[in-house]
Amino acid sequence: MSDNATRRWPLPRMTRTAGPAAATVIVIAVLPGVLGDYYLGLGYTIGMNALLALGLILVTGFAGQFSLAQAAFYAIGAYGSALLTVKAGWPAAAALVVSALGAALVAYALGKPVFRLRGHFLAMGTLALTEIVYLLVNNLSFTGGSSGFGGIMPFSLGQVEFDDLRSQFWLVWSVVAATLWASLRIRRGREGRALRALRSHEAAAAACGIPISWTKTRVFAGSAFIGSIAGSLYAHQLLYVNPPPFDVMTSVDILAIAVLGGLRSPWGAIVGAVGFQVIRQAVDGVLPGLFGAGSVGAGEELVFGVILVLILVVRPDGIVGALSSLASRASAPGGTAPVRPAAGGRPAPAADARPGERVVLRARGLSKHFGGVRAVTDVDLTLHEREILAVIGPNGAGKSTLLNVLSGNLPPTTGRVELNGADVTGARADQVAARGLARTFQTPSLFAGLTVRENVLVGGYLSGRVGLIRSALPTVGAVREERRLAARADEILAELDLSHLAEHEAGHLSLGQQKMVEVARALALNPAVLLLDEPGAGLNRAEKLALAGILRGLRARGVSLLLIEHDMEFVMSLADRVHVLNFGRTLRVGTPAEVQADEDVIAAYLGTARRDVDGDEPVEATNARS
Amino acid sequence: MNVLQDVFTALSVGSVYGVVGAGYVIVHRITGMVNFAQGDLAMAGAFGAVVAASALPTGAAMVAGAVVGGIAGLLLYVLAVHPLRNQGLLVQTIVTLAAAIVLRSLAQLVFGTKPYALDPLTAGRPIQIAGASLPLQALWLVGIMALLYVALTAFFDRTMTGRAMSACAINRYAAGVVGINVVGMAALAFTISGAITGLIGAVQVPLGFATADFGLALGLKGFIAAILGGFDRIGLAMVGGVLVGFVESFAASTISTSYQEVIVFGLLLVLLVARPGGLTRLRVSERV
Repeated sequence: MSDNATRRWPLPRMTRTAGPAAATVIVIAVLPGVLGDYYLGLGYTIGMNALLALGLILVTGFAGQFSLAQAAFYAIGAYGSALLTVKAGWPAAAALVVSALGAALVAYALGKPVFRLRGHFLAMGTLALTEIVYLLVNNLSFTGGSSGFGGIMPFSLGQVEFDDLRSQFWLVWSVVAATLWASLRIRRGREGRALRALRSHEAAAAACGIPISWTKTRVFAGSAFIGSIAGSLYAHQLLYVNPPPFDVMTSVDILAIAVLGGLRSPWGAIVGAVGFQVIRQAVDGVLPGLFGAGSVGAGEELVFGVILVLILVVRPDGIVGALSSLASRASAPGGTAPVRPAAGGRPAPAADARPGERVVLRARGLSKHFGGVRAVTDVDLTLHEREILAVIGPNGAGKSTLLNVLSGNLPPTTGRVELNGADVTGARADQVAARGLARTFQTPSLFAGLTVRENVLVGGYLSGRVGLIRSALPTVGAVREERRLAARADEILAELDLSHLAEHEAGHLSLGQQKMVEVARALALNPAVLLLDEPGAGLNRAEKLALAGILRGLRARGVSLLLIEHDMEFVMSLADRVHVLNFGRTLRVGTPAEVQADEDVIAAYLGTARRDVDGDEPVEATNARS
Repeated sequence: MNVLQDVFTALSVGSVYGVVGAGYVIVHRITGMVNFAQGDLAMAGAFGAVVAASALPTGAAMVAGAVVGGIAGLLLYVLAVHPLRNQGLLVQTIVTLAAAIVLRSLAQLVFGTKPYALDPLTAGRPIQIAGASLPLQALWLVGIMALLYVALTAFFDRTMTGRAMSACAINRYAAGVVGINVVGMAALAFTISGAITGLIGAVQVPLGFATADFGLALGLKGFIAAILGGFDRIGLAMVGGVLVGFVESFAASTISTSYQEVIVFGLLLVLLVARPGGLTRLRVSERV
């Protein structure tokens, strides 16, 4: 690790998340002693809202999925706990856990199919869910209909009973602190990186082996779990449940809290809940004087609606986003990333770096049609072990589409793809990645908002095992795994001479640097097959030489490479074989020399009948376009 | 239970859902967004007509409702959605929900919670067939839906502007490259969507009244119609709206009026889980 990195990360990971959380715990312990009942009640409400908003931030902030189901999960927790304790005589803690699991199950059942097919309809689906739950508890006889039912005992845990406001304040804020701490840890851990990655660039996240819809589903279930716990605590505090607190406006209020505070950080839930309460108190004080007592409900809604619009337009990342950008402006390393002279070519590979006989990637009769557009038609392609295969062709020849089909980012229309002898036709990108295929993209596809090191860590997703729960709880295994992944990422960065960029935000790098970091991210998958879509585009000559050296080095280590490239000099000096596409079909496959001499290939590039041209000329033409 | 009566009810409420669904489809096709204020644009149109009716004849008041809906849609785009064009769909969608809350609560502050009525377009007794009655206003609703279908189809297929909008629907980037004003098209989509939604919201007032909070349920039911139309086809969304109307009125007459909404919203979840392509996937699978 470079000394640069040590300087910027002075504290071990645990301490950074635990510090603020510990401060919260102290505040929680002290406040009930000094606050009067009025402020204690207010504090309790804030805590409850913060808990609900924490659940929402998990799914909407972390995973970028708009959910309005928080009120439904809140209701499931409240009614679940009430029914199980009052009508079935369960202990409060068991009822809380079972209700929360039930809510998570509902989220799973709804989320799994919706995320797979039409993720952006989740919001409407969750709105309907909230309406359904609300209407059901209003109409069912065993929930007491519109008048609800009482007889709920205060929450108890063994001999400890939380029967006064002080202890309930303490309870809810302890849960808030624990959830906050867990959320902060998740955000820093393997799952949190995966979530931020898929929010930033879904196709690239899938190519890193992240199962997109399953990851979203789990986090949605997690948010349901938290929302339900809030509901259970609420029922045990009020000792009575009825429908009004669980209508759609509750979901909207929670959304307003999260947006006000800032969706991107769990702290947004706390800040937003406090801000929301302050605004609500102010509105309730002013409105009746202006419009009469009847205006409070609609007036509050109007004010929060307007605030929501204003915050989104002015500052979509909320108060916490504004504060942290102020803070980072004060401390960030200035401006653009440093540029270092390229390290120059690496030593030429040893003699064993010749292609083997074994085929690692094979496509047969592969076609991809978009409606009437035949982007790829009936392509046969083979890639041997330790081979560098270049796919070339004029713009629009179907090169990138072919690569997308091979990597599972697009399903083929017809044909078959085999990876290491296994049929991966129609497999999802993350499944293909798990079988040892990594790729880079034509346009820069780093995860914006993540540092270079974090980008490479996302590439290492598949070599980790720690999920949501173990990310939240720092088990020994989780901490050890994180350390192992970090070491591997640093090793790759050092190998590609990118260590000096490790802590820079990926989106701020130059195009050439981004291309190299993408290669680093792909290498973190430890791939047997690496697909590169125009890795040289945007690199200067020295950088290209360095890249060529790196690619030869990979081949020497047994990696098979398929690359799309326009720079003929680069291609011809590097590739063992060249596969030429034109209008989606295979035009020629052969050694660089064979292809260079081929009349059809020359005609395809120049778009004219054969003319005697210097081999360099088409290169210039295509470079000018890319 | 009178089946014919259920059919009549289904047709009249279904036309409203169908047009609201078409409103979703137009915005979604051109911008990729789900507009959470769609139902509240119908509410805005309804109240626009109610207010205009104090000075204008009923027919003109309902046209005024369409104008109010169109202006509300345009303002929604200009003031809230367009400033967020660089923020991605998540934030843009949230802002439409916020705008819906603003519209709804504003209406509640101005008009209170009581229902408002309007005179029907044609005075006269409901048509009686086999013990079922069909109000004349229901015929207007069905007729206006049919008329909107013809007009919108002609607009999108035959006019230059309509085709430019369809181009945006297929590939926004390419549309921009060939010189189509993508922002203008999006604004126009919100305006048209708001206008047709506002019109149908106004025309249904003589049957269903105008209340400040009817936008939420109407928005959800229109959304189901749009899902049934694959969120892509105006005509299928209108058919979908009538189907939603059928489910609703038969649920009310055969099961219970207290559970009719639960059943309709349940249909939304079932569709999202089992058949997110709505009626379109049926067509595709038949063709293949």
